[in-house]
Amino acid sequence: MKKTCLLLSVITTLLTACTQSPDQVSQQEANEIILNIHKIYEKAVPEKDLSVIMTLYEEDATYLPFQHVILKGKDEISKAWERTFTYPVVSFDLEVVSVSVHGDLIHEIGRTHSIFDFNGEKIPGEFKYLNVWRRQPNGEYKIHMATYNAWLDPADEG
Amino acid sequence: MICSVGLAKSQTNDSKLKVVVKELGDQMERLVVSKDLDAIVEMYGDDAQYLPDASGIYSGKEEIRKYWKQTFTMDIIGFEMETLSVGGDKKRIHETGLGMSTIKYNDQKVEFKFKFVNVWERQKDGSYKLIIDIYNRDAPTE
Repeated sequence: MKKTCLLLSVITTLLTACTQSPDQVSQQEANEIILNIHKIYEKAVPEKDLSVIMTLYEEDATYLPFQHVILKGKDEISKAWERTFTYPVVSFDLEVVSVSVHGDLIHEIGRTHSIFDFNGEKIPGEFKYLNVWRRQPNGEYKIHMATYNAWLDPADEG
Repeated sequence: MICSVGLAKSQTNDSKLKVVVKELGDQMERLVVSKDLDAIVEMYGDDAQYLPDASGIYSGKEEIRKYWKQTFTMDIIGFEMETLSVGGDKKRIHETGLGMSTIKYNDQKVEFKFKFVNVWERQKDGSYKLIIDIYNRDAPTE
């Protein structure tokens, strides 16, 4: 009877360990995590540093880029970024609109402010995005899912 | 073996989540075509954020209502959504999918292919509401 109880207790503990989510970060911690990641992102994009950009993604991340099919996994996502880097982006700034935490996920909504240099002419590019960051076993956060679309100020819409 | 039992359980959960979002998607399709503004807005949570393509960020039901009201001035004759993947858990479901909206413009049918991410959050009464809704244009048809 004692052995049965002990065995049941061990099995319950192991099952819980397999299915339990890690402790949730606080809102402040999440804000700091996102801002720190942004520093990496904002530097890597104008430098077209693909290797750094790809460190931000999970292995089987999902990416839904503008006017493209849904991409799954780092191989496909890196090709999409290579295409993005054919555009002459010279500056890339991220503006956080909201950050929310749910278990091991952080939802980030924001706007990107890019400048493209077309033969000396500076053209702004404005987008808005959703990044879903997921905490990894080592505590780092990586992009689990990301998508973006065009920003148009509602005041300018017809 | 014990962890693989856990994994099999998550696959069953994904199936259940797919059933949930399928019903929500079917509901959304009906409401868009019937232009039921009140009901569409009720599909969103109070603090929802809607990020439609080529527009701004709409936060909260009042702003979202304004956007859908504007959308419903178009002659929408078809609206379809197809779930491609679900993730998350019973409390918060992440859904990606493809969609097609068809409008009548100057007696012509115009189709708009899109892909989307929906984040559904379970409410206290067990229903689900959209808390994040974003879409963009799918790849152009060649």
